[in-house]
Amino acid sequence: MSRSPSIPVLQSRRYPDGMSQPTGDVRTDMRAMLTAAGIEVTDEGVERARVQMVKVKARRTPEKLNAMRAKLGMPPLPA
Amino acid sequence: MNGIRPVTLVLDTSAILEFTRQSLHVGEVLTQVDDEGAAAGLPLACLVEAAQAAVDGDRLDLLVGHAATVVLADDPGSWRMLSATYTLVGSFDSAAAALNALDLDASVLTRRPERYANVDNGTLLIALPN
Repeated sequence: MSRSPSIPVLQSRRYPDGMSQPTGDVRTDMRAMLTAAGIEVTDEGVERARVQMVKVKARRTPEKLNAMRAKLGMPPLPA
Repeated sequence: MNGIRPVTLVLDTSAILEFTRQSLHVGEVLTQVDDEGAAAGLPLACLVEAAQAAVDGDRLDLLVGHAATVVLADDPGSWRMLSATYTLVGSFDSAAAALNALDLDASVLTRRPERYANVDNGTLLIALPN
């Protein structure tokens, strides 16, 4: 029995060299998106990133942030 | 695009390019941003610049299409601030990254920290290793 031309042929998305087939939704699942891009993160690496981000954020006092904003002609953030 | 998540991180052109080169560090930071329910901002100028140099445009599509990223367009009314920032950082895309980050109280992820030396007072940048 031949396939009706009105029924579309489903094809899996092709990923170029170095990219992998993800198991989740690449639009909502970060690890699936990264896997599709060929990046495999570890929990330890994500924890290192968290610590790094917290350190930078902790140094950014309102005074220092407003000093940078003033340098660029931006008004100070509301208190 | 996501209008609800707070933007806590801005990727500049160099960070976006590192993502297309499968940078583990960029992946880890993006995962952390997503885990905390936040979003990573992608300034339009940085995306355009990165697209010129990116070997793999499909990875840019993956990045832009994820719910934890948001493309940041510059407000036309901020042109003077952009111009002032350009003077300090030397390029339009870096100016857009810095200005968006300061507007959103976010950090800039970059592999080119030296570009922001005239703006950063040690509280703006997350530098990627070379």
